[in-house]
Amino acid sequence: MFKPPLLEVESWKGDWGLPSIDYKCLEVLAFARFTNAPININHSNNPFKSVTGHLPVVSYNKRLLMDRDGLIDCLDKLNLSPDCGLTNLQLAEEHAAISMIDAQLEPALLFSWWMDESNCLNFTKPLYRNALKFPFNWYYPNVYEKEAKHKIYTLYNHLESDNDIMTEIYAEAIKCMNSLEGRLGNNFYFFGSHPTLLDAVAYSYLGPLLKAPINGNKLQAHLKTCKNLCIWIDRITREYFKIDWQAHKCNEKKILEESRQQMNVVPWYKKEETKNILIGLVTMVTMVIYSFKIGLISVSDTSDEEDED
Amino acid sequence: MSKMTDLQTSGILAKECLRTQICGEGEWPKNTVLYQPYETEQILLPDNSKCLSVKTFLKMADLEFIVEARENAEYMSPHRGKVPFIKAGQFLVADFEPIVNFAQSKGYSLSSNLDEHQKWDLRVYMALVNNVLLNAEIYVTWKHEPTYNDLTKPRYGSVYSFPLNHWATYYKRCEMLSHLDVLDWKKKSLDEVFKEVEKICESLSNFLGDKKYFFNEKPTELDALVFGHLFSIITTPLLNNRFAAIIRAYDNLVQLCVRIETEFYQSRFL
Amino acid sequence: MGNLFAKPYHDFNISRELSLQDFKLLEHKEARVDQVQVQGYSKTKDFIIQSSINLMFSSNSFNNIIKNAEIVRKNLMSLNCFENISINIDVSSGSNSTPNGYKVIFNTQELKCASTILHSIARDNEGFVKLGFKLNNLTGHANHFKIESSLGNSGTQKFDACISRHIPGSISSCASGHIFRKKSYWNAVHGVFNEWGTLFDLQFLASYKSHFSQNLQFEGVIRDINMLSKNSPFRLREESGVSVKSSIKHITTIDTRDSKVLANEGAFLQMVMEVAGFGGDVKFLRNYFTSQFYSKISKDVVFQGSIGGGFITDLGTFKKVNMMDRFFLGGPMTLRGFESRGIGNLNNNMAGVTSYWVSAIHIYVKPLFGMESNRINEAFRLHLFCNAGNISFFDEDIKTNFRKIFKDYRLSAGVGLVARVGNSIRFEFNLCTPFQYTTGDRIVDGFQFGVGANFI
Repeated sequence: MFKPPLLEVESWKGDWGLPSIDYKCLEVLAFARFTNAPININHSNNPFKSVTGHLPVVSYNKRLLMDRDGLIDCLDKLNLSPDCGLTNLQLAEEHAAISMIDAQLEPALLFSWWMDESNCLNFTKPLYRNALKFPFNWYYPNVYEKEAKHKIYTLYNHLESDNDIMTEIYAEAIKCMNSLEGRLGNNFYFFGSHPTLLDAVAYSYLGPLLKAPINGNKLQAHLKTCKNLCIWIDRITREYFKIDWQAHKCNEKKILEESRQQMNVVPWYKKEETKNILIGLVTMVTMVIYSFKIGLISVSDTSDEEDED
Repeated sequence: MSKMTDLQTSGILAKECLRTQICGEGEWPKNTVLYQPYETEQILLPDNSKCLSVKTFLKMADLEFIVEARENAEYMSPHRGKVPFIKAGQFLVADFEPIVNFAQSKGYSLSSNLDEHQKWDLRVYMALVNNVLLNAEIYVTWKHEPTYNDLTKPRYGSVYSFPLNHWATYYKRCEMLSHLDVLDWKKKSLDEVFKEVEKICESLSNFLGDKKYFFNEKPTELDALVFGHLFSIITTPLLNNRFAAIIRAYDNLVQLCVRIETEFYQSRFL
Repeated sequence: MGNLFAKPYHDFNISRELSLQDFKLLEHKEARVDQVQVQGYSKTKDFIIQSSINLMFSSNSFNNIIKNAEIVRKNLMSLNCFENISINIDVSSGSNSTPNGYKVIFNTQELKCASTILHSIARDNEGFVKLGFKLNNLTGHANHFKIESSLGNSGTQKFDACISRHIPGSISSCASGHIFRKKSYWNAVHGVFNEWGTLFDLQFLASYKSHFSQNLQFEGVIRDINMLSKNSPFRLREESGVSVKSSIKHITTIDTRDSKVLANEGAFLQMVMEVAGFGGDVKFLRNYFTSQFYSKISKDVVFQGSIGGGFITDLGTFKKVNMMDRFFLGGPMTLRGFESRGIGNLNNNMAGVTSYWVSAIHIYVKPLFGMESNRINEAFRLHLFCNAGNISFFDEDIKTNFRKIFKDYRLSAGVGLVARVGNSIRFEFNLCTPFQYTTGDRIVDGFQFGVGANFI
């Protein structure tokens, strides 16, 4: 019996209810789900095999598909285009909208993940470090950080300070979100009742931006006020990535229960005060030992004199 | 909560306005000067497109300005490397979009009468031209080896004396190539780039249809931007006319260029 | 150009048996040098040293011998091959000695092959930390190679690779080639200046007068002016961009001061003539000079009068001389009471001018009045100063030029404390009042702090 070859995708594992933590993987997965392409997803944690050092690695029939265009071509050949049924005008609009989203949301996502100092240290790097295997987890996060920074600095090399870059990127991104919000309105998807390429691309950027547990990010705060976009993101997750959605829901419940149980039971050795006192003690002891060593304090003065006498 | 975040985001937008200095109220300043590189011997395709777009926009909005050519225009620009820039009163504004925003803040806008959906269209198609067509122009100018050697190098270096012409061109090229590289354009072949151009022309042509301008009767910023790019591509002599030929294949786009040219430039480019 | 640093001070090792009276007696006695011995070197080639010590044999009196010995010591030190040189003068003995013959022995100590550089210097109101390494006397021909980078406290970064070589001959000379990269800031207008360049320098030291030297330099440099802020004056912004300068520079220095920072007596004159336009896109002729004159009024009071000035003539047709070549005036070490480059209205094209003059009168008083010279008196002075200066644009008409030079000149005065660090760094802490200034000048009415090696 003839079995059609599968689309092999190596992607980052998912979290927070999203099927993947990385926006590029997310895009590929969304494409595949929207088109019902035969797909085999491997949750890999080893970008070492990839040529570019990035995931996803998409291959079809032993041929690597390098970028978005390659994937679309491939899907087209399988008669699985997500855009069937769109008019020429809608296709044109989609093309234009995708270019806008790429240009304005990608820098915003990269900036808030990698260039925001506290997010980068407390969230993004640990995230990739946990997703990777041992020797790689000390290497790749730094590489990704460097690449992201290089990209931002190259694109915005006319601006001098990080702060200027941030305001420009964020302002662009907020304008972009506002217009997406307006365009989506109460529609199910951007072009009616079926998700298209545009939905996949927008979802891949906005999903992580909305769901990632980062602190004090202005973009995320703004995105949360865009009700239509939030509903739309949840709708896609619920309908096309059911497993991840349910797993996340279960997880959330579990965590909620656990935290309820563990509330107010902080063991004494984990309290801040204990730590501070310990540190203070250690410092004191070190200082005293040091002053003995250099002769600032000496105890046996009197006894010595008596001996000499 | 939502009010708080609204405040926050409006804070960002306000900051952005302040940074780009477009908050100034009041009339369009007299003696506005547009600075650009020398048109005949120095300017390159991407810069020429942007300059033409801005000039067309200012003409469409009926704003007064004078053009001044400077060999170091790109260094004088408040955002280094971005031409053209305008000096309006004490404000310096560089690049197409900020200039449009600046004019808007003074109360001159071509798109104020559009409805929400049309504004969305305006935004996305402008982004399309800015992101794809501009990169294609940069690719042809700086990455395509024969064009770089035969046209770009002598033109860009024409205003500098001996060691500097090589040095400055080399640095500019490195900068441009790394720009293309991070956008994944560097590894494309010329054919792929032209395919992109074809795709964008197709999109624009579909959107334009047989309307007079992109949004019916009145020209908008999008018309200025598209005219700037397409007209420079058609009129700039390159090594071969493949680039121009792609655009010429779309009749309604060419018609749009001709229309805008006759209406706003009358006999200047005859 | 002086990035100088402290050198150990040397005394003669005159034999202890000679009393001061004997020494006085000897001073005018006829004498000749029979023998010169140089000890303690191994790597340096003989002929390099020979050319330096030839001078010894021309001495005809004991006094002369001592003087020449000191000059030779300086010449040998200027080879930069030795860490330390001491001199012994002895009556020559042996078979081929003459009645009035003397033997001069130079005890040298060579520098190690490689050494690190770590010191601080000051220039143009900025302190620098220098880091680098140096290869001394690579082949024994007194040739050196060094790489150093310096970082200033207001952001200036400089990287310099230098290879230099001593050329033996009757005139002691030294050739060196530099490759450098420099980034400096003008914070008041948010300006950044980048320079990449090469410099070839030929230095001549007149061997008979150690205080007279000449430099002939060729400099080829690419400059990049970048105005970062939108608030930078548009006049200055118009000059931003890249340009090339290739110039030949001639520097004459006469220095008879007894100290480079806090002199008691002597004079100093430095004249620089620079012609640019051999290739490159700026063409100009630039002359400027600085002179200082010191005289001791009493034991504790020193008078200093200084004057400096310069003008630049634009020879170019296509590109104008830009702000990196023009003159700026003002600063805590030149025209006190004004900010650095603080004279002239920035928005009115008066920043960076084609001619200037500046003058100063100082009266220095030692802080511990009437006491014998001690450390505090050596290192600190109180001073009373009065500065005057002006900037102007030269044009064709000489009569109007002359009037312009003195029209609206700037005047300031004040008191302050001067400190010397090492042998070249000067600190000034002044309370100053500008008396005469025009609109657009950025004045400092009150305390002003300055550090540097060049001052007026």
